[in-house]
Amino acid sequence: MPDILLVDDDQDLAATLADVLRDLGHVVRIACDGWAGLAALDERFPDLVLLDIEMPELDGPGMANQMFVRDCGRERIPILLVSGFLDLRAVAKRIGTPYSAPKPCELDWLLRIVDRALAEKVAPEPQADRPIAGAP
Amino acid sequence: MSRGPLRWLVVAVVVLFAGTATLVVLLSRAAIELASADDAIANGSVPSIVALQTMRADVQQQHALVDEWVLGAPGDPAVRAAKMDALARELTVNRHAYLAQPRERGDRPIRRALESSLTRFESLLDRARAQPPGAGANASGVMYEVDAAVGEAGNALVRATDFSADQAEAAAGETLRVSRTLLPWAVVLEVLSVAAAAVTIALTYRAVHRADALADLSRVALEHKTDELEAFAGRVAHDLLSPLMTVGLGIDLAHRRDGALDAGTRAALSRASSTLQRVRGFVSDLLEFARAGAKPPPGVHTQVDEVVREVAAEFEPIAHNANVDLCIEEVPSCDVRCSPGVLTSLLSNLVQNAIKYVADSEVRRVVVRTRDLGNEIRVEVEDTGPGVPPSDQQRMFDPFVRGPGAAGPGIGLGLATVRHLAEAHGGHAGVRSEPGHGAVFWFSVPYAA
Repeated sequence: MPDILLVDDDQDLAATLADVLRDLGHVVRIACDGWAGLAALDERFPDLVLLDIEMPELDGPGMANQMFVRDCGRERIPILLVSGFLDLRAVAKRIGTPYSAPKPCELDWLLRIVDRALAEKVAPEPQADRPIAGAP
Repeated sequence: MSRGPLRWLVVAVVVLFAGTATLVVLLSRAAIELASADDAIANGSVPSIVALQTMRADVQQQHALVDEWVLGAPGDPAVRAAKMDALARELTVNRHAYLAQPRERGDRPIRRALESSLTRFESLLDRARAQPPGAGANASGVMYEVDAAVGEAGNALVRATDFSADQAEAAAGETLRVSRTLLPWAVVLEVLSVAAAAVTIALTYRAVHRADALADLSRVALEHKTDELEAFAGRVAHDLLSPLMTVGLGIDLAHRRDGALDAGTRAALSRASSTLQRVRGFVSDLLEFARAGAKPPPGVHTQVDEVVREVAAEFEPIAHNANVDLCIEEVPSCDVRCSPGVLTSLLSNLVQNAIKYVADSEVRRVVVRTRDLGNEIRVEVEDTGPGVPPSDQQRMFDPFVRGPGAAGPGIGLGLATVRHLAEAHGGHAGVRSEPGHGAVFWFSVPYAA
């Protein structure tokens, strides 16, 4: 039973997406920003993190950075960026994850990427020459 | 330029023109006066004096010759007579020359006295020559009269010479007076004109400087506006599109759990879903249009053939479903000055339009080709659709204008976005079409350095 951590400040979206994923048999936890997401990781490691970019307090790239800094396995958790941020691909490239989905997108398409990420489990590889910057 | 400096500029220009014009008029009049004075000296006084002096010499020589004639001085009387005739002719010529000179004010008595004394001299000369050569004392009566006439003629000639000399002096004095009167005026006007010219230059320089500053200001304002537009687009993307996704997910979720739903509810959900899809399309179009004016970041470049291949691959299934033949002609491998996303957006917009509008035609073909224009590459998308009437060809690229008979989703921002994007990247966009013979929509982008 795949375990998914959903980190998004849009509570309605997170709850609805969680319902969809739970219907598919996934175990889903929700965190409302980067710090809450890191706390959820301390509890247990999920198979996949669905991460928004723009969030209050600690944003998505900031949380990805902390996952690397705190390592001990956190750095190997695959990240799927789900965001309406305009330069989504550029952020995905900086974090080094091959998985990203723009908001809004078709549910089927999003679920296909979720399945792919869960099957491949490619860990993020941040660009060495550039620090992972937060959303501007 | 505010009204104060503008008023001064007008005043300075008026002074400059008035000063220059007055100077020109003054100089012209002075030139005419000087020319007339010079003319009086050169063509009046001087030839008169020359003629008078010659006549004086002629009279004296005639006097000497007639003396010799009467006294019977040695020498051939015939030769002497010939000399006297020649002198008489010369005197007549010079008399006419003098009289032909323009009349001067107050020269009437002088001319009359000269005329009468010369006439008297000539008649006495004729009487003396009528005496036989060597008549001596027998002709003494005539000779006294000749001597007196010579003296009288001499005096008349001297007076006439003096008069002409006075005229020349007066003309020369006039020249001097004109020059002296003019000089201060010329200096004053010149100084005034130079000052006015300096003020004009200073005010014009200030105006140009201020216009430059204003242009800088508006450029900065425009850049600021572009930044604001970017920020606005970002906010719209996050704050409007994310909630739309929640709604979409909710509808999808309801569909997935449709075991509990009746047919009517399912149909309503389907309508809601397709409406949402359309709204998402509109918002995306608006966003793309809002961002299209942004300048490309420095150094950005994209390989044209790669993007054309990707776009062709993306639209191939769509064209196939619409029964449209999508042909890609050979595209050179070259770099252009824009990001891959921009080039994709430019080409996708045109290909999507072409497929949409060609769909009802008999022959359904869309051709993508490129042309090298030296500094830039032009990408053309040709279709076999109904074409665009000339009256609509310019309007097509305005925002919110849709093609004739447009039925599918869209709010008419596609071509406006293409033009906006192309121009922001230093290129252009346009269409050429003959109604009934398809259309060629194109955009151009400069090559990367």
